[in-house]
Amino acid sequence: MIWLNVLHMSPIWTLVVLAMSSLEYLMPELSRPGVAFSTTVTEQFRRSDAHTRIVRRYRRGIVLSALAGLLVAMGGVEQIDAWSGPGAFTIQYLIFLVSFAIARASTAKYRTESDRVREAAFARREPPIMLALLVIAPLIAMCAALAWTYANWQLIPDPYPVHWGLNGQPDLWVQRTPLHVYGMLGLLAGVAAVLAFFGYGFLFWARRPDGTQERSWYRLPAGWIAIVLGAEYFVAASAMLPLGMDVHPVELLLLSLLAASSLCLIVIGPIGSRPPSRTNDYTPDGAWKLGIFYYNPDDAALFVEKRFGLGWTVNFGQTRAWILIGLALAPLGLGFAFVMSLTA
Amino acid sequence: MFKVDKKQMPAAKRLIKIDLSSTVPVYQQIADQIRAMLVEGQFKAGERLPTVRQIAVDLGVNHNTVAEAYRNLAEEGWLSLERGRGAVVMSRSTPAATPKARIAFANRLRDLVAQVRAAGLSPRAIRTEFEEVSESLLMQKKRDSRR
Repeated sequence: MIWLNVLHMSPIWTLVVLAMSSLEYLMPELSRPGVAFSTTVTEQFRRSDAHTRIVRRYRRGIVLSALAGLLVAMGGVEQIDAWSGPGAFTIQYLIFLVSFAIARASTAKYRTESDRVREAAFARREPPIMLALLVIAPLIAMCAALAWTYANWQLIPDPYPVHWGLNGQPDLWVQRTPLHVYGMLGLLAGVAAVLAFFGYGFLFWARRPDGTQERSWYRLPAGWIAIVLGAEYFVAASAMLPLGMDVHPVELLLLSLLAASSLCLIVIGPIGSRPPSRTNDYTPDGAWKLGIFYYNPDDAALFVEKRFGLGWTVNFGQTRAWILIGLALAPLGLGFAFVMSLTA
Repeated sequence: MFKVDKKQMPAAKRLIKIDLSSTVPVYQQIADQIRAMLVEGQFKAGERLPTVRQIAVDLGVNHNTVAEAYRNLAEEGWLSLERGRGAVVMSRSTPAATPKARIAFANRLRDLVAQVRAAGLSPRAIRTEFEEVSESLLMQKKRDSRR
């Protein structure tokens, strides 16, 4: 039986589905002028009727994916009611993948050779010490929090709060046990470490090749670094909450930081800062598996610009990429085990 | 963001350009261009060059390709490759040219002219390029004599 209940729908998953499908809908405009559906093409092709037809068909698929996702998110499929949120996300993404694959296959016959000439500025970039300090500062603060917790165990509230509602009040408590207290801090320290790794990667292992466009290329990772830093500080401050510390000024600072980061992304992010003259991203078509995953052991870059035109992806041909994924998955796995232990 | 030493930068920005469709290996193209910069005196002795990783990431090539170029230059005595310090420019006195070296140069030049003529470059265009190179050599000589 199929039924719709707007009150029943998961607002977060609905937003996720809407945000994802909106980005996917806009994707053909966000890509570089010489790229269409992860395929190198001429700029003339991007302006041709053939391209318009392919984009129109692709967008019909995206609209369908959004509708299917929303239907599931609103509890329209009773059989998967408990999993309606992740189900909505999965359905939307699967339909997008199919639409993308069809559009990519249609574009393949218009594929052209990418420019084989590459250039890079030959000037040494000195490590930005202040930025590196900003990246590791939350980790240091969390180590200090761990030490403080160890030294002042009796001051830790019992029961111990582990979750807060939107009103800022705790809504989930657990008993004060070493597993719960150190588990929470360890989990957040792991997440902060992964974010710090990302920040370092954007600084040193992402491409800024075009000497003539040097300044605008420097701005590109700046937006992302600001986002990562904002998230890292947010995670670090969250870890302080259970310790009963007064974090109101910190919250204010975090909100300002997050707002500034978002502004950075909008104003000087990838779309705003990409040199319009550059159509070559120095990645060969063959290295884009399914048009989405970049695998190129002969490219030293760990992070490369996505061919979708928004955001960055890792180069799976690099061992460091797998270390990064391992590091990112470990806290997630620990977090899952931790949450399971809380519910038990 | 990153601090680029502006004092090092001449009016024209230093760029490394590679052509993946060229018959010349990429490491050779990189080494040739860095050598040209060193010969022109764009770097002082003791100056540190960009790291192998930075150039490899920016050009989208393998780390070993750039490392090979640096190793070749180190073997020629242009660079010192020190662990932890990277590639440092060495002071290198120009050896006296032997007749053999001069003959080898003339042969290479003739081969090169034949190659570019076969690729369609006119004798006038080749001559213009020669004149430019010759002019920059004379300028270099003047600069060196002033020092």
